[in-house]
Amino acid sequence: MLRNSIKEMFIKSMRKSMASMRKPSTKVLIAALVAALAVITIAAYTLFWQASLKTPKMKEVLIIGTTDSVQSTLDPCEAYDYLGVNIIQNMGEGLFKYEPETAKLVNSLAVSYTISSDGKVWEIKIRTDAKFQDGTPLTAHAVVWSWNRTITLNQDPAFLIGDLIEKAEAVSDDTVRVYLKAPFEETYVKSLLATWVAFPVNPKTSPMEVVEPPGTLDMIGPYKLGSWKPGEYLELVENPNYYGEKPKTLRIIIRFYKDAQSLRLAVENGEVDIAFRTLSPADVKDITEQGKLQVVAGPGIAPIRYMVFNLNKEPFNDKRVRQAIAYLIDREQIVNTVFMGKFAQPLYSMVPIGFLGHKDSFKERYGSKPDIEAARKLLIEAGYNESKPLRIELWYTPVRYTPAEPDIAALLKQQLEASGIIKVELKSADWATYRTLMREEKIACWLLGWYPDFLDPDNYVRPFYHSSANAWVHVHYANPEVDQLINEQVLQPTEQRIQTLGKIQDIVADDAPIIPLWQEGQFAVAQPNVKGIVLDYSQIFRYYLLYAEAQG
Amino acid sequence: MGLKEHVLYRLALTPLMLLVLLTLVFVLMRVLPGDPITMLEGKNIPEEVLARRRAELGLDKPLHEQYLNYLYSVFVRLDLGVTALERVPVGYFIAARLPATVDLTIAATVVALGIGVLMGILSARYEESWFPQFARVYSSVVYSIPVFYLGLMLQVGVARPYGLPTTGRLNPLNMVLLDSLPVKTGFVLLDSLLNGRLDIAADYITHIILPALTLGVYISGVFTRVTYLSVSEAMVQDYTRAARARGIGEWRVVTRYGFRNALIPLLTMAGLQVAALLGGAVLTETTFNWEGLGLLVYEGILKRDYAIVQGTVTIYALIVAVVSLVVDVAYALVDPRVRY
Repeated sequence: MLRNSIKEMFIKSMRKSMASMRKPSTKVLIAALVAALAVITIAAYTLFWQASLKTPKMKEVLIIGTTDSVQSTLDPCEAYDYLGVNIIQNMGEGLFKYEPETAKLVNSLAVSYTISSDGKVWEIKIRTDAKFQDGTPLTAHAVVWSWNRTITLNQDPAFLIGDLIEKAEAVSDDTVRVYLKAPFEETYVKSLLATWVAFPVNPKTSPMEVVEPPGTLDMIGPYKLGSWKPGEYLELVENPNYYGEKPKTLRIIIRFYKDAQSLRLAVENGEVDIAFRTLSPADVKDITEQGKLQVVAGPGIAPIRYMVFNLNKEPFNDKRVRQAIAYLIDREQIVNTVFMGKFAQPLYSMVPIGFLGHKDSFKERYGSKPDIEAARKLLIEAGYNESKPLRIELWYTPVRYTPAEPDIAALLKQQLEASGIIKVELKSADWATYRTLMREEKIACWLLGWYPDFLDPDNYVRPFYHSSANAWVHVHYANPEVDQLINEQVLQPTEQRIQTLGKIQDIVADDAPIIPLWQEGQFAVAQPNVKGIVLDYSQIFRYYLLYAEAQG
Repeated sequence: MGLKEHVLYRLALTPLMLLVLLTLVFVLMRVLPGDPITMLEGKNIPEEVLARRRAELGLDKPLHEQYLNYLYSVFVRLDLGVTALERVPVGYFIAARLPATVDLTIAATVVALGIGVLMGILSARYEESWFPQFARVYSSVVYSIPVFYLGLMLQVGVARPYGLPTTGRLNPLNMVLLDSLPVKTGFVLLDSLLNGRLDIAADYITHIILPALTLGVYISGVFTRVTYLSVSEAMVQDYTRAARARGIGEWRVVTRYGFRNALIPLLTMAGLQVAALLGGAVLTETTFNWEGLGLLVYEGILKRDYAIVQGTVTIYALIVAVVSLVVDVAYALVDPRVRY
């Protein structure tokens, strides 16, 4: 009975509560809804927020604007201009490469190597997991075939490995044996094998002739060529068969601009994500001050800038005149005035700062500040004075190097004329005319710049000072002692090599056939969301490290 | 001579004109210091490699031989040659760049005629006011301003504040996209419409505004003067007096009777201006990075790429010849008094 009554009571209370549940008040309903919505919103927001923290939405394509152009082809056996080579560096790699940021030479397609006791035979083991774009595995045979192709076709930069390698053979599928022409120093050999001309190309698809635009070759690298409209744009897309880390941005478009002004306008109105090479230093200063775009600066050696004298011509055949000019040049003034003290460094040797064996020989010999008295003394000794001044023509070319070239020439004129004995007439010409005047030896004192072929001090002494290699610069400098030291340094162990390089730099500072002026830093101007710009001494602009979060 | 004979006669003269022009350009390019291979110098490329590249381009042969080879190639094989360093056929570049120049020239002519005709008619209509003076000053000023300066001013003064693009023909992304679409004529506006991409068409229109305005304003002064002089001359003729006497409104007299009189001189001037437009296009294209023939020839001269310069000049000459022929024919059609 009791049991039943309890049961009934329970059922009644349940029904009551059920009934009350069936008819909730409007207020309760709204409150519940709001609470539920709030919970859902907060949960969703938190989830999305966390998700966005983990995987922010990245832009799939980045546009790089440049005033550089691909001067010839994108065939690694022929390309020899900054942009063409840089694009190849993003589509391929060699046995050795420069590590980003540190610019140290490390193994790339090579796994290990041994050098014979006489230093002339290298045995290099290569990685077995690397494939070409079409999936063909990399073998030692492909490496040897590619080197032979470069040497046989003998295009502009072929000498980089042609002068190094006597013979190469595949010992097995994963081992290359290289017979060198001489027992060259280890870093020197590795830096040459890291050049683009030594990049393996796919023997199955590469012809034994130069591949012309809009084509390129199948190499092993993070990107492959998407499309290319010469003179307008070039597109790189991810190479899905690359063994290494995937590029952070799947597509890169390189857009060509005619001059620094167009490039500046394009980056300012957001048409390009990154402007790299080359805005004028004054433009970069403006952009920095406006603060809307980011300016990334890095150390640079491309180019180094210098003044050349034709030693066969008066008055520069007189060493005292050259030395007087070396005393008068104020590199810091140029760097501070034209390059805002930030985008270049004064250079006191043809071997740039940051390179093996660099020595500030010109600073030690002539000081870092102009020494007008010392210069006047030398000029008077050479037979010049206020009433019989030394008249020189200083030539420069306004387009090829920095857009600030005329300002630099004007500063140099001012510095030389500070002696009171030198009268400078500035002259300029476009590159083709300029180069012809040099070749025909119609000019005797001019400004030039040097972009390295490979990153080794040899490439900064031999082409300028070795009498058998410096004909192209028309300096006519021949010093048997320097020739011999240059020949020796590439064969010496590193420590001894540094000593020899120092000796060479001291001698040429005293002879002063060429006066080093400054080395230009690199700078990129980019939209604020762009990340991964690495500018180091290797001078390679690595597109595969770039990324940007999508805006909005 | 009838119209047909006249056209044939003019067509027969075209190769002769081309020959003279090509000879001139051939000589001028060789008088300039340097050659295409000079661009490779300044690095330590071995001398024998440079010599071989010169030989590949035939630059080691005597000048007269190079000249005859070139003429044979152009007139007999109808081949404009390949670029010196990339070895890309010049025809490829011309095909890629010609549409851009044609577009720019047409757009600039529309701007120039629009401004010129309007200002000319207004000057004639309000002859007694300050307006004709203003129009005269305007005509002289715009014709004497360097094109690149005008372009720069528009880039800085108009493009930046109003967010208009300053360089190129399209946003780089759209450039790549357009080239991947199936229908291709080379004319961006046409291609984008045929492929149903209104967004690309709109992008192109925003890009062409400034270059067309620059080049159009530059030659609009000439059209202003021509329209004004012709219309005002007609306004004192008996037939316009008669029209007024019949009570026809002044605006109608100006547009219907006066402006008609200006059509022939305007047509002549438009024909003559094609050469000026193409010349102006070189500067406009370089200022706005507008990838047309002008930019191509500019780069060709700097690089001493003989084939590019000679090829582009050939095309320029053909355009001028064809346009002047069309203008001649149009005379006969517009004005029944014209006889050949």
